[in-house]
Amino acid sequence: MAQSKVSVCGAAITAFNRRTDGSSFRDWASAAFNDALLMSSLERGDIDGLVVASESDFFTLQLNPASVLASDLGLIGASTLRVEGGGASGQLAVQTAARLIQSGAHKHVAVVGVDPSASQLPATTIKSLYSFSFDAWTDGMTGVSATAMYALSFQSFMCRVNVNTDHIDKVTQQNRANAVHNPCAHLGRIHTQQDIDESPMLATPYRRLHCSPLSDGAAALILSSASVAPAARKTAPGIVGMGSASDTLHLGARSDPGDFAAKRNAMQRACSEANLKPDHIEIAEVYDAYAGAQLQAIDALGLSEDIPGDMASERFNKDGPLPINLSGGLMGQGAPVGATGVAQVATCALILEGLYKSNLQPSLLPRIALADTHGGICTTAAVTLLEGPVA
Amino acid sequence: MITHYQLTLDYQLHPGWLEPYIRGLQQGAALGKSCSACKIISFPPIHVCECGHTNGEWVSLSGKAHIVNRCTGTEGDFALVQFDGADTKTVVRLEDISDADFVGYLKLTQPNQNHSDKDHSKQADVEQNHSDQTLGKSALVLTSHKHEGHP
Repeated sequence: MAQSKVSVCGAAITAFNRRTDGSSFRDWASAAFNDALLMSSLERGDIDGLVVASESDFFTLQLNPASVLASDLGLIGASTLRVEGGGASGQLAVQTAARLIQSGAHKHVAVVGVDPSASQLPATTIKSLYSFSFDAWTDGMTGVSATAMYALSFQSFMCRVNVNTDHIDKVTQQNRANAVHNPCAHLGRIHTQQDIDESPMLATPYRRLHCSPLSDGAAALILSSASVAPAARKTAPGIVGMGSASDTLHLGARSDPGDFAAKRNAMQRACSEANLKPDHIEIAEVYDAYAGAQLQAIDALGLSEDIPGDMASERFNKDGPLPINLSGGLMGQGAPVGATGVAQVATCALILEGLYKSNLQPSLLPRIALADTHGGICTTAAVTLLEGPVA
Repeated sequence: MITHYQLTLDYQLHPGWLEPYIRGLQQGAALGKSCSACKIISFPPIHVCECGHTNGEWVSLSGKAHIVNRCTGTEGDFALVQFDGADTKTVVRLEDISDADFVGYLKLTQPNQNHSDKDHSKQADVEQNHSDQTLGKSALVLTSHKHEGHP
């Protein structure tokens, strides 16, 4: 299907961490938006649409956050809406904004993803709230945590794909080590094997260090129809393929509970739209809420036919031929849920332009990048493919 | 200056179309949904079957389940299990089931409730309302002990 090209004219990510400076999510959203707007060479009045991603009113304590941010960002008069899809909220917001442009209804749309970690709430309350990411009437009724759900899914994955706990340890070490070079990251760390082995077992095989943190932070994009992009941004990276899909809500109703089928379908749709294949991908930011989820993502996205072999050859490492989660991913960079997918696309766009963090930017500019996000236990998946400027 | 809000939220999840399933669990009974077209039995019940049909009937399962995968740790003990007679699996919380055991039984959580699906008396309505209010995190529990309600 022929569609107008969408350019990423502006991209910005705030620090992801736990704020102790008295600021609120409104401040972080404004900071990210202002930086993205500056990069875009557009004026505030040029923005004719705002799409906000925020996962839960429980964390912001704000129903209708899009209206609040439209006012704070000085976008009164622009169309505003909020997108929610669990952990996929941010990337679904990006795709919604891009579709608004492709439809011809809008020329320049701001995407703002934001969430506070609500770290003042008791850990048990946070855990309970996240258990409602699953069917509250069935699976959720057991009191199952997100960690336990992901653990059960990864155990099924290990029955089909030849990976084990050594591989999730390696993902943990790699993502956190990448994050050491990302000054905006929540958990840049060098973990020894002993560090991992001594961290508490939450739900076999997941120890605490195998899990991503909840963070405060925001990310923003300015998307434009390529035909009206500012002169200074005519060579900005473009969104060339988008796909989203869903899977059955109940983990147990899936024929293979370890397979992220929604992600597989979303990838196929994105590749079809972009006329690309998985082996065209040169860099990827994938959804690693848990270390094993990154391996499940690599499998579902078709990025490897031999995950253990590719990990042994360091194919996905920082300096490998297909770096995955250079930012540190959710595990290293952190995870303000609504901001996550927006930040993934922003990271890809900045890398494609050679504008990413100096110690993480590949010396040879990649041409094609992938951003992958999901919600629930990959119940909702969204994949976006980006292409760098033509030399 | 920080503005404090403290909310107390008392939710009551009404079971809706899942009412037979929820009420069954509270009586220690596993009720699955059998698709009228393809005869697949789902537990938990699926509203629209994969074959596309919505019609089905409630069928009683034995309450005995086989553990497929299990996890343990500070988050609790949970498992992906398949109940005898069901074609789908489900997540349950484990109670009193050792690592060596791969079979368990649905726990009876509210032994005093006893009414049939066909009972439309006023008393049944009262009990149904009661079951609405007590829908909580206790029903999908697998234990090593059979109770007398299990076949």
